[in-house]
Amino acid sequence: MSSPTKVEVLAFPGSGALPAGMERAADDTVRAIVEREYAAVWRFLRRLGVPETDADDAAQRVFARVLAKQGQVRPGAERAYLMRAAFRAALEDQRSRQRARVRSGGVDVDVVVSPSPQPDEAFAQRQQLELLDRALAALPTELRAVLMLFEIEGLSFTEIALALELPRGTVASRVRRARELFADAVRRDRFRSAL
Amino acid sequence: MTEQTLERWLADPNADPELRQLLEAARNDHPRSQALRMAPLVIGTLLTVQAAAAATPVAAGAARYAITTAVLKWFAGGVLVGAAALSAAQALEPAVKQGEPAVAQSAAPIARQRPSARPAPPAMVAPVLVAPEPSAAPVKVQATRADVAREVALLDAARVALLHGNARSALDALARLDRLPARSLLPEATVLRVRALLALHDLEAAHEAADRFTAMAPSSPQAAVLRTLLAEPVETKMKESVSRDRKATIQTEASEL
Repeated sequence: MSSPTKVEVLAFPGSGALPAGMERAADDTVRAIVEREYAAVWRFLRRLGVPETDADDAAQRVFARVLAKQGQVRPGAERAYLMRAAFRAALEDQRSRQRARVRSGGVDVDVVVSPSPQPDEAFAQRQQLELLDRALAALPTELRAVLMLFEIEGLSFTEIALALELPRGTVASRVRRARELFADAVRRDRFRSAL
Repeated sequence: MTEQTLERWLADPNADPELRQLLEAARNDHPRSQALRMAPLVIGTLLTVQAAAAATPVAAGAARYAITTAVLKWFAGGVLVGAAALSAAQALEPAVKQGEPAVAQSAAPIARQRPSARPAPPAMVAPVLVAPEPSAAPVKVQATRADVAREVALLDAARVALLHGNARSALDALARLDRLPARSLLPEATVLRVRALLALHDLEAAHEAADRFTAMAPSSPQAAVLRTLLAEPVETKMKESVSRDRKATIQTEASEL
């Protein structure tokens, strides 16, 4: 009989199949990874276009997917694997949103919903985010992902390569290209706003 | 170009300040604090339900349902009590008022004190009110993540059995649920039990179960659901209820593909 795998340990906390100490350690591992990476995964999903209302659900699914296979994830590379799953989830979300837009005659409900009134500081932050998202929308998803992982989440080229399943050398050129497009998009947006 | 020659804009004082400001805004964007706090619990529950799905065929259907409905909706509706209200809300939407305080139903007591042989870990727990004896005042015990996950899995097994017209299996699952030490989803279980009993045309037992619950929590949304279920002809109500649930399941599963 084979010994219990890491997945089983994680999946049945409190089942009594393993010594309580081991189960608690597994729980602690899950908790530590979630606490450390949740906000980053959530941010990444948001910048890839997942609406705020869906971002938590999407992030939870990403974690459940990756942590269920934790035995296959190299220790220390959890963030890269989480970002890989998040990238795929965001692509799926985009596709389903696209289908929904077609069905609803081109109206994107996420765009027409206006945000509730915010206090000044939060309002300024929201405005910045709206500008950021408009600029990011001008980039292909792959470049947006590279830019966010490099600039915001601080992943190394190696981690980005692992997350986006790219050759390491390609990451550098994509970061450069993404920066150019992003800067152009921000400039264009500012120019339009000034008119 | 290597990483060494490419400084991140946020760390580069020579980078365009406007672009840095935008990136700062992105870095400061974060999930709601409640979502952050609950994330380990919800994700842990998802893992448990997924594993339960892999372990038993009945739980497999239940787990898919659970993942996409009950467990994830805890976030939106205020965590555990949201899950308790879920089934009833699906069964009879008008009976459940939005925004109504969801305290009464979670306080409905029946379970016994959790055995002390395996103390609950201090983290990842949700408070549950239980009354060990009718005469005793309700006491707070800790339902561990595993307890809640087992409860959710059994409830969903019961729901799936009911969806497939197998009311006896649903009652079996609910009987197993009764043996759990701490119960946070009693109201939902009661609604399912009454529906299963109605499906078996056991009106007397259905009324008995409903009366027991409504005596404990007369103003809860589930009590309203139970009164409505029992006030209408059995065939009509069961058909409508099962058909609505089937539709929801099919939509959920289709959206996952």
